[in-house]
Amino acid sequence: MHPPSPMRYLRSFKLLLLILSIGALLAYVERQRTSEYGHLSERTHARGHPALKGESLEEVARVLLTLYPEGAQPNLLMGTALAEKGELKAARAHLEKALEADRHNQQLLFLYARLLLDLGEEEAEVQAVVDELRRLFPRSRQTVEAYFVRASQGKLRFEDGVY
Amino acid sequence: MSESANLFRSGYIVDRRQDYVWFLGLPIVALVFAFVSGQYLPGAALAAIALWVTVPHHFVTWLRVYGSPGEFARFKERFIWGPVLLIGFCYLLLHYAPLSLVLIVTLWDHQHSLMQQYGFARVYDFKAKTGSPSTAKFDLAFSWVFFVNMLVVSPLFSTLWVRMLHEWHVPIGAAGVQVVHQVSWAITIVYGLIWLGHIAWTLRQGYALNPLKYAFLGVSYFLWYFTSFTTEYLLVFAVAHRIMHGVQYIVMVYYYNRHKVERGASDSVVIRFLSKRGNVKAFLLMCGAYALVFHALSEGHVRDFGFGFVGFNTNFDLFSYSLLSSFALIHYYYDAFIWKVRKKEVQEGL
Repeated sequence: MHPPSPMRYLRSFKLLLLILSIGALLAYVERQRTSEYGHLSERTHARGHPALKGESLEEVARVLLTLYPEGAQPNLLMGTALAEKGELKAARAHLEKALEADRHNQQLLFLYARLLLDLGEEEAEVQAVVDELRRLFPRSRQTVEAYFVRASQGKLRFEDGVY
Repeated sequence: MSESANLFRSGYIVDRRQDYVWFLGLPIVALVFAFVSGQYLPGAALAAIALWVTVPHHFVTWLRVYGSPGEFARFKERFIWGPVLLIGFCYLLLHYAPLSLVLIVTLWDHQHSLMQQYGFARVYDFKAKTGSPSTAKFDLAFSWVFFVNMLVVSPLFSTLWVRMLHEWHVPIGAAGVQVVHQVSWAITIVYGLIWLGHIAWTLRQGYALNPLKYAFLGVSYFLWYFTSFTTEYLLVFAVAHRIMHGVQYIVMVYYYNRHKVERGASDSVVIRFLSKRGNVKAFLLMCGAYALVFHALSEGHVRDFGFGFVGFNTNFDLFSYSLLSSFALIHYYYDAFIWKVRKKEVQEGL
């Protein structure tokens, strides 16, 4: 029995080879663009992904706000961009608008709670948002608790299982 | 009455009762469940759906491919080298170019989703012996045009693709997006009319139609359009879509295997046992067991069983995480060639 010819292998794997080639091409473009424009933040952990930052983040937020002014994502992106720039009050308005549309977004609740803390709001107000975060996203509860205990310098406290 | 009976001829994927439950009723139930989940359940609900529906629906592909010597022999090389190459590919992309991986998984997932509903529509025509020779092409174009339109114009997906383009430094403006929306709607409306015209032509030519197929396509596209236009919460779309997609796939493969065994096709002991009437519980238990094993693998819990020899490397978390994408890609890859309704081997199980 003859071994399969290379051409038969190529024909058999044409879809797979196409996908691998597209992947390689995209990877090349991604790395080239990322290093050239520096518009993405580094990933912070294995399961994280690079995200838009600075001007690029504000630009996409502006485009999306023009299209969907009441949308949760556009307002979250703009809130994040403004918070990055230190414009906390303007950021708060956008985050609150985003919360009106979607109160189930982990990133949104986290950012809003941190913003309230940075703005020096009452602990009870911050605590309510963090509790919502703990209740909706139990998998990251411990990390969230540790973060806010540290960020509030011990003013926020969390009892096990109590929201 | 006899004329309408000639125009319309029903044929079922499984049988009348099962089809009404899984292929026509389930999308509505999934839709309601998704909206209730979005309102009352924590974000972790999506992870649970992924674990109990999406992961088992991958398992039934492995069962069909690796559990059946006949199926395995058909594309042996691909079933051996496909996983090796795709696992390595995903790991490398996640490591060096994560946006590329996200893009490939997202686009292939969408293609895979629309092709599944198209494939089931083909099965409806095959079972009822309905449609003209050109119906398959018109249905395929319908699936692409209507699904892509949903991705392009719905607020939920517009937000995602505009953001993705900016991540790739293709900064499209609001005016550009609106033009894309208008063009997409125009193409969809024009093609929708052509598709309806083709249905009328099919009838005029004396070919019968299977009303079940149109009801199935209608309810599937209703689920996709309704969720992507009425919610901004991706979880709602994902829960509804994954329940419909995953459960229908599991039902399809279960009956495919069962039909083959009942029709006397030789198969492995495992497939024969799991496909036996009354062994549905064993089949579901195996799906559940696989989901738990996969969860341990992809979450990196395997480290806890490894006496310190497994998972000590810092890249282990990245590798565990890459399994989520690589197993999905292997599933999309296999499904691209194992389900061809025109193939005689496939028809044996339909």
